[in-house]
Order: sequence, then C-alpha cells, then structure tokens
Amino acid sequence: MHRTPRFRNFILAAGLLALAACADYTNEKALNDPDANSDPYEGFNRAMFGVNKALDTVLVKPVTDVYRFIVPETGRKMVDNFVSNLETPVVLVNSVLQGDQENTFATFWRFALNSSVGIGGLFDVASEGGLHNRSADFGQTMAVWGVGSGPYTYVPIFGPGTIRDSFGRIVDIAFNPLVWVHPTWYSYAQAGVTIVDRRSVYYNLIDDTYKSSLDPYATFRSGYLQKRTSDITKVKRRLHKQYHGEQTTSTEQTPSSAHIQE
Amino acid sequence: MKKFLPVSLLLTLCLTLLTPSLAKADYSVDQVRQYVDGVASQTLSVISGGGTKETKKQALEKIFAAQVDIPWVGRFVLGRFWRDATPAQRSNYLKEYKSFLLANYATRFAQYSSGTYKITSATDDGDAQYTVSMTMAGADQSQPVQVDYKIHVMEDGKLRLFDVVVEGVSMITTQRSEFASVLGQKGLDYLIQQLANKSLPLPDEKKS
Repeated sequence: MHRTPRFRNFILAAGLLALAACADYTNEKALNDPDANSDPYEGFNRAMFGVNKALDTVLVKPVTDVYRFIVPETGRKMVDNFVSNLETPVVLVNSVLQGDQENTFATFWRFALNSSVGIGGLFDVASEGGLHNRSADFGQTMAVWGVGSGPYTYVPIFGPGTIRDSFGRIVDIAFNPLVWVHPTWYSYAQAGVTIVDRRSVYYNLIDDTYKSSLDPYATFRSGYLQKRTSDITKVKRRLHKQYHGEQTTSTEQTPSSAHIQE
Repeated sequence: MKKFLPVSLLLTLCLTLLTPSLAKADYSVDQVRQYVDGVASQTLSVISGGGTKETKKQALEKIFAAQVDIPWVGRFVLGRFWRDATPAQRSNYLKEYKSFLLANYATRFAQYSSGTYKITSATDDGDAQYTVSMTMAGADQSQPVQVDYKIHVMEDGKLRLFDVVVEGVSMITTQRSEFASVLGQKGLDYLIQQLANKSLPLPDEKKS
C-alpha cells in the first residue's frame, strides 16, 4: 500500500490516545440538561461548522441542486440504494464485532440479495422482502464495548461527531474492502457520491433547519447527540434481548412534565 | 362553627387540588391511541386532499394550534430562563413563540402530497403522560421513519400533544438546547425578537 507502516502506527497511537480521553466522558449530562455547557471545543467546533456551511453553500448544495434537477426521483433512489449497498460490508463487520446476531444475519442477506438480484445494489429488493436497512459503525461498536463518547466535535466534511465517533469513522474507512482493492481516486469518488446522495436525501431537513433555527450549530449538535444516544440505546437493547431474553433495560431519558422549571 | 371553618377551607382546597389529578387518571391507553390516530388521520387528509399549498398550510396550522399544548412547550423550551422572565416578557414571548412554531413547524408537512402511518404501540408513562409510537412513510419508497408522539393531560382534562420524537430526536429537547445557546449569549429580549423575525413569511421561499 502507499501508506507506510510508520504512518499507520502513528494514526493508531493518536487514535488510542484520543480514546483514552473518552473513557469517563459521556454526553448524557448534556442531553439531560441542555442548559449545561458541555461542549469544551465549542469555539473550534463553531468555526468548523462555519467552514462546512460555506462549503455547502458554494459547492455541495449547488452540485446537489444540479443532481436533483437532472436525475429524477427514481434514479436518485437507485443511487441511494447503490451507495448504501457499498456501505453494507462495513455494517456487517461492525455487527459481527458487536455480537449482534440479528443485525449480522439481516445485513449479510441484504448484501447478498441486493448485490445479485438487486443488480449491484441499484434496487433494494431486500427491503421489499422486509429486510430493512441496518446501521452499525465502529463508533457504535466501541460504545457497545463500553467506550465513552468523549466531547462533541465538529469536523469539516464529516460534520457532527464525538471524539470516539470521529475515530470510529477512520476505522470504518479501513473496514471498507473496496478501499483496499481500488486505487485512491476510488475512495474520493465514493465519498463524493455519498456526500451528494446524503445531502439530497436530507435536503428538506437540512434546509428547514437552517431556515428556522435561531442557532443552527446548537440545533445540529443537540439533534446529533440525541440520535446517536438513541441508536446506541437501541443496539444495547437488542443485544440484551438476544443474550438475556425479553427484559429490557430502561436507559432512555425523555423529557417529562415534571422537569419543567418554574 | 368557627372552628370548622379552617377545616372546611382545607377540605375545599384539597378537593380543588385533587380534582385535576383525578381527571388526569381518566384516560386509558386505547383512548390516547385513538386520540393520536384521529389527529394523524386529520393531518393526512389535509396533506393528501385538494387545495393549494397555501390552504394546506393554513389547515395544518389550525390542527397544530388546536392539538399541541403550545404554552407548556413554550415554557419548557425556555428552561430556567422562564423563571427569571418578567410577566411582560413571558406573555410577549409566548405570543411570539406561538407564531414562530406555527410558521416553522406546522407547515413542514405541507411539502408532502401523501403518506401512510401505522401505530405500533401506545404506552402509559405515568404522571398523566403517554407515548404513542408510529412508523411513517412518505410517497417515495424511502425507509419508514419511527415517530413517537408524547401526550399529556392538561389542567382542563383534555389530551394534548407536547412533543414529537423523530428517530430518537425530540423536538422540545432540541429546541430547548437551541434556545439555551441563544439565551446564554444574547438574552431573552434578543430571542423574542429573533422569534418574531423567523415568523415572517420568507420572501425567498421557492416553490418546489
């Protein structure tokens, strides 16, 4: 490969160091008490959020607009299916690492069916048969293993995350088998298509949020952390069900009338 | 007789305090499910019915205003800043918050032309609060989305929605966090002014 072992070791060491910092840190406090300031890198994050907004305005959104103008909805759905199918191996590896039998089984058959009957992933035949899209990433896997989230981070292009989840994204790139068999330009091409596809899928959500939010940075931060916590809780519940039966652990925090402050 | 006056006063007080909580226990999970089903089908009939985008928006705003406990939500999202607000600020805020919410959230459904929903569960969360979960799908073949509606019993005994949780993201939690950020930096008067600005119809609103 074109990357030297020394470089790889450096990345690994840097990643482990960053993870050690996550050990005791979770965003639960931030979620349960949104008034609490628990975004230690807020200054940097807001600057990067600005960079991403600028990138979106001058590049990503215009390209997505052209894409949405040229390609009809059915075609865009096919692109989305194709991109999602390319990500399935990463989901599969993480499902295995999490010990999630249900997800592993569903993801394996999704990939097998959609890649063959679904013509290389253009058609999501598995969903029509009831096997819906599953998600799993290395950030989630680490959460299952007991690694705390670390502080919130905002990185250009990748967007919202936490220290743990940002490190997870790097690992997930390495989990993608296509990255290893194809030349470098391939990774960029897949990344580029994925960005435009996702911008298009969440087109209205993103634009509505920018339009209606009084502080889009805070809105995206809260939304991301809630979604992440909810996804990880779901995985943990599913695992609990698979290994310990029906009893579920209730870790989900929801706002209640009692919390209103007079 | 004089002796009994404080006692009877106390009794009356107890009864008046107890009455709302008695009324609160009155709903079964099935009744709450039916209530949400009613609101959802009403919303869906507006979306898939005839009419221009503008008339649809108005109809959606009407449903939203009638079925959401906006004063409660408004107070909740202000968090600890509600306590410090003057009566004038409070009433001003609630007025602007209502227009803001209707202008920005009620109308989001107007861009859809059809959809389906299926109620998957209804639970009693205690404290006169309920959750009704459903999966919703748009007209395109996108993945169904899980949406949880939070309902509570109001002082007058009526059921009203107080939160919508889409794929684990709660509207009121998100908004409270958003407002806290603005309030922490710029204060309540600025927030009220921003709410008013955001309630105005946007001149650059494009037809899609």
